[in-house]
Amino acid sequence: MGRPTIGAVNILLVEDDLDLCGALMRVLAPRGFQLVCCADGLEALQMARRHEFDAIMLDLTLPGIDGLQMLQRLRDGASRTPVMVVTARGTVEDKVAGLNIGADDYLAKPFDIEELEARLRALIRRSKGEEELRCGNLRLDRETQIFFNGFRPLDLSPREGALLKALLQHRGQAVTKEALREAVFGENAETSADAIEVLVHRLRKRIAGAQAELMTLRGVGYLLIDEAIAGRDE
Amino acid sequence: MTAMPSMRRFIVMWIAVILSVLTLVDGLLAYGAAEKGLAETRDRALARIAAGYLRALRAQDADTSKIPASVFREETGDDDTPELRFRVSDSRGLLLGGDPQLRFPADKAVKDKLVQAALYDDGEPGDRWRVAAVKDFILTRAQAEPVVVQVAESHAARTASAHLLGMAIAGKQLLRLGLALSLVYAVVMLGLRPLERLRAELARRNAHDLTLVADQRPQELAPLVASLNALLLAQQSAVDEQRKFLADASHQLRTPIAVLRTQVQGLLLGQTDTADTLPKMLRTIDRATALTNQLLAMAKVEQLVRRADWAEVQLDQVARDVALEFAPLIARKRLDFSLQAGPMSLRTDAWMLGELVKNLLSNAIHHSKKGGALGIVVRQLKHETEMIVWDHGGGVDESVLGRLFEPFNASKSGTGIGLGLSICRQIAESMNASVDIFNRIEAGEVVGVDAVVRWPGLRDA
Repeated sequence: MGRPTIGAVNILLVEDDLDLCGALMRVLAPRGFQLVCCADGLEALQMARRHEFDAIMLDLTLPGIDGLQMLQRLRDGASRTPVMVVTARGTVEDKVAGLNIGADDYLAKPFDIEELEARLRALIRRSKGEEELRCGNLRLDRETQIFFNGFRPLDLSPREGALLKALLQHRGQAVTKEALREAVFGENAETSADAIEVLVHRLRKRIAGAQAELMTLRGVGYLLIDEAIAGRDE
Repeated sequence: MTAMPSMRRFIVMWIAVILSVLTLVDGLLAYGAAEKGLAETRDRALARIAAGYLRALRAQDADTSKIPASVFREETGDDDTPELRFRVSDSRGLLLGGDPQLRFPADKAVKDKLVQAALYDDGEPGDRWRVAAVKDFILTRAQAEPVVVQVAESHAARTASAHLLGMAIAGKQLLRLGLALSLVYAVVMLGLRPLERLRAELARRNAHDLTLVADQRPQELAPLVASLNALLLAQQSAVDEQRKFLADASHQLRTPIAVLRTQVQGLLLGQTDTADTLPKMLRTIDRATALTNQLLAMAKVEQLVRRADWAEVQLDQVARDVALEFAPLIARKRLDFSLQAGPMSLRTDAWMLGELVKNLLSNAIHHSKKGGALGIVVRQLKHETEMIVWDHGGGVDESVLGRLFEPFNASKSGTGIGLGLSICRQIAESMNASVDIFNRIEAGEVVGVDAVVRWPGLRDA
């Protein structure tokens, strides 16, 4: 057990497998994460209340109290520390229960270290409100709300901007046409989902050469993906 | 379980009822005939006694006391002579001798018939008598005078005799009935013995014994034993399948662990190159993880099938959700995906349906070449709902097409982990649907696979 360290990203790891704790500490330390390990739910709860952590990684199967109960008590105590549930239970019910009680993300064991790091960083950025919206060379400046292709500002209409923002928020993930229509035209707007197609067509031209690809999943929605990632899998 | 009535008791009981009714009817008829015979015999005896008296009077023979006994012995074959009354009167009814309580025949019809002998009933209710009267001329003081002789027997005596007769008939019938029932019972017991033998044979078996039951049985039991054996065979094949599955699963799970162990030991001993071995170890782990997940999914499907928590699920929505979930994978391969699906609701378990679509789409993505086209079509045919997950991955070798749904089969040909399609079939069967894999042929060439799921007759025409 240790103290949160200044300068590093401080994570409370609630996990009863000491081998996994040790391995994660060693692997994450060079990436700028300082892990405090705790194998018991009640101890972890005290620790979380006493110290400021950037995020909590929580296993569900724990001695003392169950991970979900611990999360419940933590949220009842009005703690806002982001929590990522990491478990081998891996059923939909557990996932839904965890997210309902107030987990911010969910990762099934075994996991890829790269993915864990990316998810943890995204989680912390989101919780601090500094989420950076970027994909390829596309970037949204949070201060000015201006989109950039590299260093060149993009000239987008407000609707194109709203569309790109919605896609950037879910980069790498598909967004349904309905969700995009809501994001662009508002919840009660009487526009057909086809209006989005026209808008996507225009946006595609505007972001050409930005190393970001706007893909269509016909019948489902659209997806913005970093060209470096697209086609990486052979 | 409510106790069902016994077949043996049913058969014996109904035969007993039928025999009893027949015996009762037969006994009553026999009694009726015997009673009629009895009355006729005794009427004849009375008439003969009256005639005998008349003869005795005519012959001036004083000893008439032996007549009744000898006549009754002759007629009924019985030594027992009932108590009789006698009266001798002249033609006007004046008592000449005998019992004055026996009245002279009052009825003209009777008197007219008196030439030979007349038989009639007389007396008061409760004291009825059967009377035989004979009229003839006998010589008295050198002159022929008509004389009437009456002989009477009380009805009570007759009834007593009839009772005795009835008892005798009833006794005989009961004896016959008892004998018949004993024989019926014995035959039924003997007849049902094969059934009892089969029951005892089955009771002796232990629960894990799946050997067939001997089938030399009476005609009625043969089909039952045949069905039983068919069940046992099915059970045996399920057990064999399970055993094979376990053996395959053990092999598939242990192999990556053995590989990992060798790889780690090689590293520890410095015999293998770290940079070369570690990525291989990671791939081994990913393979074992995927297999573990599939085994767990399979166990969960089995559990869900048993729990059968069916609800209305939107097939098109499930397909869309799966496509959304798999979108990053689709994007990474730059695949050209399309979903064609109208609103379509099915009664099933949402998780299982999702798992089915995921497995099929995951296969399609796995087998697609970079930039290739794939998609999902959901449509309503005339008698069924159909979902096709199609790809342009070049199709499946015809030789493995038939065995694709067997567990671990795909892994032997080295294309996948091996349980995905088994799970698909298990899910499909649980919701009364079928799942099949076809090679899609365009312009005479196999271009890809159509994985087709069909739910029969779900929609109104």
